Amino acid sequence: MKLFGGFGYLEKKSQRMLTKLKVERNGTPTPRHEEEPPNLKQSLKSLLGFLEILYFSGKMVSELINANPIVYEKKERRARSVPTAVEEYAVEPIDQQEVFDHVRDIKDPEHPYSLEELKVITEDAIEVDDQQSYVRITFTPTVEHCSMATIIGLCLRVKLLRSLPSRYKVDIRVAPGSHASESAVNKQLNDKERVAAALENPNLVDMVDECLAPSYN
Amino acid sequence: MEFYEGACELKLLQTLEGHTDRVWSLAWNPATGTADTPLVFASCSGDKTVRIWEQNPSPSSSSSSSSSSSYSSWNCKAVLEDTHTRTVRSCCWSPSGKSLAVASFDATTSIWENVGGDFECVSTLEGHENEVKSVSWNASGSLLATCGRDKSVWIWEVQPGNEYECVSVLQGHTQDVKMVMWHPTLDVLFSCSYDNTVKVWADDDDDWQCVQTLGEPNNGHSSTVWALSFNKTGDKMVTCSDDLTLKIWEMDGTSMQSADGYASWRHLCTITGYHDRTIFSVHWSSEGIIASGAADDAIRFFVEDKDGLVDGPSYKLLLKEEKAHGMDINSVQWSPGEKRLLASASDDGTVKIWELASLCTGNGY
Repeated sequence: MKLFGGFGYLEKKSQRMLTKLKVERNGTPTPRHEEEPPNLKQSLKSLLGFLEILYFSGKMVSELINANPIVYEKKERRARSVPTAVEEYAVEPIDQQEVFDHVRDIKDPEHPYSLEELKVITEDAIEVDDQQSYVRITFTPTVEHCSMATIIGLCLRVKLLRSLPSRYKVDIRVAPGSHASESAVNKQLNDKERVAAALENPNLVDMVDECLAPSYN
Repeated sequence: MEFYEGACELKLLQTLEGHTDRVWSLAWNPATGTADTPLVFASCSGDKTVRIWEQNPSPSSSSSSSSSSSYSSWNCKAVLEDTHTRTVRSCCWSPSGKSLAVASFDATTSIWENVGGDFECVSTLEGHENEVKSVSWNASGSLLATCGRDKSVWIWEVQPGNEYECVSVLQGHTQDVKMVMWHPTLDVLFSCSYDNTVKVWADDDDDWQCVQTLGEPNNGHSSTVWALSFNKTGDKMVTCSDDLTLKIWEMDGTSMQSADGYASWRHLCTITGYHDRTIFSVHWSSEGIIASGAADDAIRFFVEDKDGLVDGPSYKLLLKEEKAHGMDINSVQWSPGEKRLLASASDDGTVKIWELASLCTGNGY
């Protein structure tokens, strides 16, 4: 049983799922897809739970990896301190709160909740050293064999790539002990060549953008 | 010659802009840098192009290195574009300098030649399932090796008329293969991988096979091996890794000439505690200076420490250039020719040309 799906697996899967979704949206399924149930819920379910096929390959189980996640309350949004006239031109260092604000609203790939609501990301799990231009995010998948971990990590990386100054070095990892394939997931997420290749795949980019969409609102 | 820490300085000669995405790799044309041929190198990028850069001939180029402006002028001579549809990951000149092989994430490798002043794509090598990550010519230019994400290493034979025939597909790595490089004199191929190993491939009666695997049990790396380079004579090799170390390997002198022709490599020493992020590139100069470039934005230079022979061979830091680039450094390459020039390529989209100059002895070479 393979416990870890790399970006390659995601690429193939996302392509199939997106094709399916597009068909649903257009409402005019091509003959190739006629055998698919014209049921949005069904196809969403298989989209959202797509990776467990990894674990039960051959059995074609199609259920959510974590069907009933605990949803937590969002943390109150603190206003960032307003600079006084004197400080107006001072360079404001990037801090934990700012980085948290960049990533808290990223949508979970599996559920209509944010990473904050599922406590995949907490403010405390973000380490920032503005002097050294360094950020480390430690996220906690909702279940320890969560195969969504790589896509969540990819979303975090892309969001920070688009939000932080280029001088920043970013490490992304799953919380120690929170994932069955911890070292494999961490290695994949921090191999920039693999990330670069993944981000040239339009279907994967679409998936990531779906998850990032709410965080730009 | 001997090198001492503090006796050298690194001078930035020029910053070359033009690529619109990260620069992944660069390659000096080995047939340039002579009295009548100005230096040429190629750089390749996430912007899907290759750029060819040429040094401007200058009237005072033979004079002192202190007048750096005399040769700090580089021009982009050509842009090879509209051929690859994805990132161009690496490139390599043939030993004659006539052909440039270009490896791309679009699963193909293209061969370019300078035809009457214009670069033309004369051949395209297809076969890898997906991203091609590295390409290398052997010493005679008769063989080409490619590797990639599909975990395989391919060996191609150069045929007349720009034909390339695949003579072997080597399976053995368990993860994507980051780089391939031929030995500088022997037809022995080296590959390094995300699976933390370096593999040595040799030809046994037209049957290519893995003759050695340098992994953690052989004092090898504990994470992705990104690159390797040989010293001038080819009896030593340096590898660099995501485990933040450089490792020096030595060829077992006796087995190099042994009946089976296989060279056997053993770990000599580990250079550790310098870079604090992934080391992506390493290059050994013909003079014996190892340059390394890493994700910590720094370039470092190491030389053999001749005083430390009591505890076996060791290498010492000669010089470091912090913040050599504004972002990760993906490639460092020494130039051919007389001048001690180094080119570095970065995520910041630039290529920088440096000169390593000796302080006390003027030109020093």
